[in-house]
Amino acid sequence: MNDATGLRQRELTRQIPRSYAGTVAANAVSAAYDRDLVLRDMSFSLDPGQLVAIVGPNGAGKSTLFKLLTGIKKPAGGTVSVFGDTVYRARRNNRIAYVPQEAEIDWDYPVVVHDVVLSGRFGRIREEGGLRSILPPRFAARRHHEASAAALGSVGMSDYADRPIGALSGGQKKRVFLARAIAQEADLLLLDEPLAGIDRATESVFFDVLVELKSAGKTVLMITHDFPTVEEFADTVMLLSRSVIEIGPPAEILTDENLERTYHGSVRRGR
Amino acid sequence: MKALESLVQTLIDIVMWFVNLLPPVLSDPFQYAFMQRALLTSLVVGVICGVLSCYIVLKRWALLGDAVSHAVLPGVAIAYLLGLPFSVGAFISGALTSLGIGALERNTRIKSDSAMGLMFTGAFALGVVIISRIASSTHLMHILFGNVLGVRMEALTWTVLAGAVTLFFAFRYYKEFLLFSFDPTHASAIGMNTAAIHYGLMLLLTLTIVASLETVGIVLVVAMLIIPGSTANMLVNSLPRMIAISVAVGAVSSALGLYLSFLLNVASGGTIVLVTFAFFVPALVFGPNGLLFRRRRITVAPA
Ligand SMILES: Nc1ncnc2c1ncn2[C@@H]1O[C@H](COP(=O)(O)OP(=O)(O)OP(=O)(O)O)[C@@H](O)[C@H]1O
Ligand SMILES: [Mg+2]
Repeated sequence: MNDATGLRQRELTRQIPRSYAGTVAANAVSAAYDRDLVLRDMSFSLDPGQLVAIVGPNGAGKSTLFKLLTGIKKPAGGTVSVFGDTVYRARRNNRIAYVPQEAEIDWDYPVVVHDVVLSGRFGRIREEGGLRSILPPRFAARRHHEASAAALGSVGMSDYADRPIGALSGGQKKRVFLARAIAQEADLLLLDEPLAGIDRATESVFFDVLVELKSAGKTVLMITHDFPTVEEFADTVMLLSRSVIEIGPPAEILTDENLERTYHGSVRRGR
Repeated sequence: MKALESLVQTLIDIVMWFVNLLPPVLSDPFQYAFMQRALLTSLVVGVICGVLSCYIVLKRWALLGDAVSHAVLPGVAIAYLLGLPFSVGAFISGALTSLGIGALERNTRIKSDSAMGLMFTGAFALGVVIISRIASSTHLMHILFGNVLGVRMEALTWTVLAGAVTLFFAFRYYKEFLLFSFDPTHASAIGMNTAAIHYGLMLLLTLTIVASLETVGIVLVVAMLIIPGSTANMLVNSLPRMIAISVAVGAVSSALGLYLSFLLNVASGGTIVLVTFAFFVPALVFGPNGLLFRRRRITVAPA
C-alpha cells in the first residue's frame, strides 16, 4: 500500500508542473459511431475534488463521453486526458472507476456478490506485484477482501455478500456495482445514471457515499436527470447536448434559457 | 524430448499405481502398455477440456470450439504432406483460424457467429480437399473420430505438454479470464488488455482442441468442451467450484469411457462423450440449478 501511494505521489509531482490540465480535460474532442458524429468539439477542464453533474437529454452523448474517459471508445478527434495523463495510463494506474449505465453481463454467471466487488480490487492486486498478484483472487492479501467487505458495507449490502449476483433486485445490483467502484479506491469515479430506478432509501445511502468520496478528495462525475440532486450536491454542472452547452456552478448554469438551449423545449427543474 | 518421455512414463507409473488399487475387473485392461498410454492421454484431455469448458460455456463460445476443431483439418493434412508432427500443423491452422475469427469480430461488423461459420467452413473445406488427394480413409477416420488406443509415446508427450501449458495459463491468468468472461467492460476500464485476453483464450482453446484430437477426434471434441462445464453449471454458483467439478466430470468420464469402450469393443471417442452425457443428464434434472429445483426454490430474502 505504501509503495502504491508513493508511486502515485511521484506521478503527481512529475505531472503537475508540466501541464496541470485539471482532473479531466478534453480538448476539441469528437466521437462517432460508424460515421455519425455524436459529440463534436468538446473542450473542458475539471478541477479535482469536485462532484460534477452531467445533464442533458436522451441521446445527448453523455454515456459516450464516459466511454471516451474510460478508453472503451477512442475519440474521433481531439485529446482527452485524465490527471494529465492518457486515459490508458490513468486506468492502468487504478485512477479511474466506472459504473456503466447498464452492466452488460450474464446474470447467471457463477459469481457471488463478494466476488464481484472484489473484482474492483484486481488493479490494486496487480500493482502490488509478486506471486500473490498472479494467483486467483481468493489468495489475494487480506486487505483486499476487507476493502471489498467495507465497500459493500458502505452501500448497505453486507448481508448479501454470498448471494449469486443474479439473485438480486435491480436496485441491489446497482448498489453492488457502486460498491465495486468504491472498492477500487480510484481518484476519479464515473457514475452513469446511478440514481435511475432506485428507491429513496437507496438514494440517501448513495448521497452519503458521495459526500464521503468527496471529503476523501475524490473527483466524481455523475450523469443524472435529477435536477434537485444536481442543485443540492453538485459543485459543477455540465449541460451536454452533442457538445458542452454550458459548464459552471449549478446556481449560475441552471437557468431557463440554458436549459432551453440544452433540451430544445421547455423543461421545468422541479420534480 | 527423451527426457520428457521419461517424465511422461513416470506420470503413467503414478496413474497406474492408483489404477492397481482398484479391483481387478477395472484394472485388468490397463495392464497393456497401449491402454496405459490411452488412459493418461484421456485423463489429460479430460482435465484440460474440463477447465476450458467452463469458459466456453460462460462465454457462449460453443460454436467457436466447433469452428476451431474443424479448422485444424487442413493443418493436419499439410503436416502429413510435409512429414511434420500432425499436432503442430493442427495448432497452426487452428490458431490462424481463431485469430482470424477474433480479428473479424473485433474489427468489422460481421458478428461473431457468422465470423466463426465463415472461417471454419472455409478451412474445413480446404482440409477435405487436401485429404481427398493424399490419405487413406482410415487415416481420415482417425482424425475425425479419434484413435486413442493407437496413441504413441511421442503424441502422448505432446498432449501432456499442451496440458501443462494450458493449466499454467488458466491458473496464471485466472483473474483476467474471469473478468473477461464476466464483465469485459470493467476489465478494460481497469486497464486489462482485453484484446490480448481474448486472443489468449482463443489460443488456449486451440491448444486444448489439438491435444484432444487423438482422443475424441475433430467431430466430437466440442462435446468435451461443452458438456463438463454445462454439467458443473447445473450444480454450483461459484467459478472455482464449477471448474473443479467440470474437471472431475471430464477426467472421470474420459477414464470410464475408455474402459467401457475396451470392454464392449466400441469406438472410444464416442463412448467417452456418451459417458459425459450420462453425467450431464442427472445434473440437468436434479442439480440445484437444474429443472426440478429451479422451480421449487423459494427462499426468504434477508431484509
Ligand atoms: N453502440 C452504438 N452504436 C451506434 N450508435 C450509438 C451507440 N451508442 C449510442 N449511440 C448513439 O449515440 C448517441 C449518444 O448516445 P449516448 O448513449 O451517449 O446518449 P446518452 O446521453 O447517454 O443518452 P441517455 O440519457 O438516453 O442515456 C445517440 O444518438 C445514440 O443513438
Ligand atoms: Mg446514457
